[in-house]
Amino acid sequence: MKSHAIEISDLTFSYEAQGFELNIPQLSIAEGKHVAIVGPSGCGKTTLAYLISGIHVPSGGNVDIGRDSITRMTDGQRRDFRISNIGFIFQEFELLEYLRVEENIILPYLLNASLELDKAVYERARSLAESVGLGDKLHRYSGELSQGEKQRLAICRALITDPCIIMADEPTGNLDDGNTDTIMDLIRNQARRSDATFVMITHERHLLDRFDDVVDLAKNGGRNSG
Amino acid sequence: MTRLLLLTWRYMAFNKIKSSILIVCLTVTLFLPIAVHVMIGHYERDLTSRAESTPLIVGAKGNRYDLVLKSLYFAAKNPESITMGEASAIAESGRAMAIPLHISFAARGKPIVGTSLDYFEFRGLEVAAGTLPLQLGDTVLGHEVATELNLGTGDVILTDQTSLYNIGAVYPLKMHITGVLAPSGTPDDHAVFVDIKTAWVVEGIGHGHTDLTKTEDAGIILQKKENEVVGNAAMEEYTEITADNIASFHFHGDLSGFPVTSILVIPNSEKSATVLKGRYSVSPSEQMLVPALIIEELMGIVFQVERFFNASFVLICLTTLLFVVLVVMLSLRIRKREMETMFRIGCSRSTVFSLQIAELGIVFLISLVAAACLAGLLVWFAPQLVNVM
Repeated sequence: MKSHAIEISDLTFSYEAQGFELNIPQLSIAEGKHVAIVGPSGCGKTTLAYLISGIHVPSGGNVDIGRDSITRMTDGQRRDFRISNIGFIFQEFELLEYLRVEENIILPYLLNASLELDKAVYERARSLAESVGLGDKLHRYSGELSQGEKQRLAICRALITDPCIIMADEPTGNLDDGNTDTIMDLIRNQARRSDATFVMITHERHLLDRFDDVVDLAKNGGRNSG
Repeated sequence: MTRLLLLTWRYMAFNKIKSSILIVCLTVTLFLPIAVHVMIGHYERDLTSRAESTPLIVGAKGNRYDLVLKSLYFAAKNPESITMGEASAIAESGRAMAIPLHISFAARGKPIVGTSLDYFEFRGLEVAAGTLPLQLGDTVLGHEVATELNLGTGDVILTDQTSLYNIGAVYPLKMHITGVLAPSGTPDDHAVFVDIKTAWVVEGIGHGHTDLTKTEDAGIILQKKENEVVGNAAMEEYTEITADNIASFHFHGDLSGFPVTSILVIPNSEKSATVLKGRYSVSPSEQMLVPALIIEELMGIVFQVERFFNASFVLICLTTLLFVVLVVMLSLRIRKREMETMFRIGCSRSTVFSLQIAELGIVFLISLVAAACLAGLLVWFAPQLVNVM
């Protein structure tokens, strides 16, 4: 399997209009590790996740995943890399209400022609849905699901490409305690099963003991000059 | 591409109302100019073909359009009458065949056309059942009249009362249907045909009543002279022409002075036509018209209206375009977050743009197909629609 350790050096990024600046001199996340990124609101947790994923392009420094340098890729290369290697779980689920559960899971395949959409993908989608308890809801619209089910669906979508890195942006932020535990176990188990690196942004301190490492951006990261 | 189309289709199917409104707007915008063009085209062909098959029309001086439309289509205002003597004069000149038309009354809302047997031969009309109007009171229905009123040979039809409040007005005449015409796809399908003398009876110029010279009922005699018997109001006037009373029907006065709406003139030759036109050009009370020229004039007005419509279609198209742009802009705003999610997952901006284009493309394609289907239906039904209109 290709190496997927995350190496960040001298990373800078800023939102000039908002007077926000993020500086990460050095950050290493070893392959297969489960890491939490914490910090107060506005310190740049989500921005860091976007920079690692290649959604944002840094103004300086490097982000390397294994041997690939995200910062040296073209836009197209970054997109293809992201969709193939990074599964992103968003805080607000970001499901498409007009698609059924099964279609939401395979959405990365529908959006990017570089991924081959074959029968095996549908089987994998079904298998993922069953593993998170959505096996009997494949043909429902996402709007018909409960909050917990929506988050589980979002997890399936993030995992469908079998990514080597799972990024989760406060995936339990909208869930109650019971659902939070379920979702956390689910993601961690899935990550372990595929030996993926799991990076999760959270402000829920009680979850931190479940991670191998914790990066606190309040100590070394973003600051708001405004 | 298939994947994009699937996503687009799912979005459209989920947002049925929005998609339907867009499709209906575009369909109507595409269909309207086609509809007007098709209908005017059919209308023109319909008007022109009948006009071109009618060489000349003679009628009272006045509105030329009313005279031609009344004589060809049995529609429009009643023009002033001329006399039957004009028809006789034309026929006696040996230069043309003259077919009188009396089109002033209606039976169950359908125009009654009083004419001669020559009319049926001239228009190529044949009966599908029964016979042509051979004697007084015989009535032949146009195909559509028979179908619409569910009448046939052996049935009767009443003429419409001309005035409800005039007690001196002529009573409606019960007419016996002796034939039904085969469909011709012309205004003849929508008319009720009688002999011109029957039309005069309907008008009250001719009538039938008890023979006062033979009656034994003294109560209906008002005055009895040597050569004349005058009946009073109790005298029975027939409102139905039957085999028993047909002989009693008669006309007071000279037939040549009786009214006709117009005369269809079929000249023997161009020279005859020219001579007749010359004769009527100096007539103080009658005019001779070439229907094809009048219809051409009329179509000129219709085409002007069509040009006006076309100009307004440009505005309609512009409005629809602005509406579509507005919907797309609002849609983009509503879907901004969804688009951003797609991008964050790994979709290119161009793919996101393609989704919008695909949606518009599908909407346009469906609208185009719907407009084409409607246009097809319109072309199919246009002849009937033109007749109905």
